[in-house]
Amino acid sequence: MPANHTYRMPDTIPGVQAVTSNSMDRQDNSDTASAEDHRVLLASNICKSYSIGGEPRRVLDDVDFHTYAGEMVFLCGPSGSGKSTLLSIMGCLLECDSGEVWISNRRVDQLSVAERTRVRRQNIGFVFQRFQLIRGLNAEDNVAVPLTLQGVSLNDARERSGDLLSRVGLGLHRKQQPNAMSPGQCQRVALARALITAPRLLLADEPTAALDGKSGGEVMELLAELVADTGSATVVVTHDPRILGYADRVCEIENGQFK
Amino acid sequence: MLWNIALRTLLSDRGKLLAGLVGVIFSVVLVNIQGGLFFGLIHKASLLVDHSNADIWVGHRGMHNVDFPHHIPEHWIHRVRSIPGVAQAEPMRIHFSEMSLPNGDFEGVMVVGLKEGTNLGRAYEIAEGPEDGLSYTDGVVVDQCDDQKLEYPKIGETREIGGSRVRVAAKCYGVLSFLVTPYVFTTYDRVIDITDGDPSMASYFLVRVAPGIDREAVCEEIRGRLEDVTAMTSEDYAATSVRFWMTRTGIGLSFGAATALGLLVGLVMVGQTLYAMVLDRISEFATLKAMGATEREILLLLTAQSALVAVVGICIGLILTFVIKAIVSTPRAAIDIPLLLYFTSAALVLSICLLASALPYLRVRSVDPHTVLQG
Ligand SMILES: Nc1ncnc2c1ncn2[C@@H]1O[C@H](COP(=O)(O)OP(=O)(O)OP(=O)(O)O)[C@@H](O)[C@H]1O
Ligand SMILES: [Mg+2]
Repeated sequence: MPANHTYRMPDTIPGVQAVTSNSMDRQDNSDTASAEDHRVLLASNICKSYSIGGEPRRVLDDVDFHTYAGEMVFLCGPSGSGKSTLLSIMGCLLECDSGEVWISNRRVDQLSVAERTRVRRQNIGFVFQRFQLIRGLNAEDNVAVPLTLQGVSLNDARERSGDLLSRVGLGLHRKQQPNAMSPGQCQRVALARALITAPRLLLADEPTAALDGKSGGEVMELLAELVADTGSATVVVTHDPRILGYADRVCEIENGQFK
Repeated sequence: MLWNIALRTLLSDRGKLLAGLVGVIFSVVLVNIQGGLFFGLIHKASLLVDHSNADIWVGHRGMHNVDFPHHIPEHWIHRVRSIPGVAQAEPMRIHFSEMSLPNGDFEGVMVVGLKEGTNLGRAYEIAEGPEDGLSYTDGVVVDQCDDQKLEYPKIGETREIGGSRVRVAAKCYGVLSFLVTPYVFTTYDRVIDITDGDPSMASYFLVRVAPGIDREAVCEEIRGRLEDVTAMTSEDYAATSVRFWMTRTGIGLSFGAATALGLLVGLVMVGQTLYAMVLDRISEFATLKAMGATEREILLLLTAQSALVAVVGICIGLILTFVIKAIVSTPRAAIDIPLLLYFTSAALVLSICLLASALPYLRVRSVDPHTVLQG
């Protein structure tokens, strides 16, 4: 399996917009190191506790994490070790108790709810275990949603979404409803939805857990291909040992800390 | 896109959409039919006035209901006629009496006496029988809608009112009083024969003013010249008669309460439908939030959905109202829906539906995408 996904400009995927180094929302605090330039995500000293039954329980304990553009990092670890929690914190869905989160050199952990929503919209794609496609919208419209949230007109968004669906092998299914598609097809639609805006950061929580081995492999294959084109920094949470071969780097987390 | 999502997700939840629509339709129909029945009923309180062809009604000071006159001396009419601007003034009489029925029972009737040769006070059109029915010496006109109460009198049939013989000369249609008492129309003089009333008294003077004359000013003048009388424009007296029943019976309140209940049911059904839809899709809303949909966009989406349900439901409801009105409305149970009521009910139901989207919105607002997306 190819493990050499390096950043390259997206010139091959129809329907996916280009990521340019000077595009939106970037606050350039670093001016020198080129590694830092390509560092899409930086999380440092992250702590997070949940109160369970009135008592605080530490789920993440001083975690540091980073990824670069075009890199695919796997987060592994036993159930309850805090993988999803870390992913949510990196994805601006959850606030950490202490520590810093930077996305594209912009500090995001202290932003207001509205600003973090904007950061997600502009920079982050999500893939979920259960696809979370919107019932009632066909494949094409589901994929078009993130684009339209960014202000692209529905017609343009549909066109690009149709192109991308062809790219993921669902060209003939673009008008199909999610409930008429197989789980593997649904996850491919979800992948297309997550990547249609060519986000800097792609966060996937157990993207293959609901799929059989074969479609899981297909989905990962596709994911690797697509992020190679978009240059998204990708973090995949997984339990699935069969897909570890797709990782550039594997981080193991246990009891809220990296091993 | 928001519209697209709103519409498609609505359409994909057919069952719930239907429930919501039924709620809206129910509300609209109920409000309009209730309101229509109310206006239909209350309208009867002023029917004699509305169709009297008169500009001004003159009656005893403190007159408050067309059906309950307090009589005034007939000769005062000359003073009314002498007022500049008065083109025509005729007296009329309204007396209560009883009609004997073929089965030996009695039915209370309001005997309305009108001057011959004028249309002042003539609130009816002949629907059955000769136009000049009242020219028979004992002729009266009754209403077809009162047939049941009066035991189906036939044209030419003789009856007794207040012990005097009368002949049903013709019938009109749809001139009913707010009371259950049927109107019996006859001539001004015959009322006295029938009811043993005081021939020197009249119940009202009906006045027609000359073209271009200010009716208010004439009323003022009449009140000034005749101490014990009141003069009102027809509109005012109609409103006064309506107000009498409104305030004395509280029907406004009871109809209003039923209407409010209809709106409430609509509100609950629409709110509950949208809420159920949202609960069903809570993880999808969480996904939208994760993808960067703002609170405002989600509120807009939900509002768009309730607006869609509302508009479609209101249209169907209004059409249904038309149909029901056409089928069910009769003079006895008139459904009289003013245009304004259609608009008001539509606006009211629409705002209530928009209000109903607040509940699901609050639910979605409290959704934390992190927790929902985990499992
Ligand atoms: N919203 C929450 N409230 C309270 N406790 C939570 C919440 N979310 C997660 N937890 C707890 O935090 C711990 C870590 O949860 P997390 O979902 O991050 O683990 P995970 O590594 O993703 O596990 P899995 O592999 O089962 O998905 C678990 O013990 C979980 O019970
Ligand atoms: Mg998890």
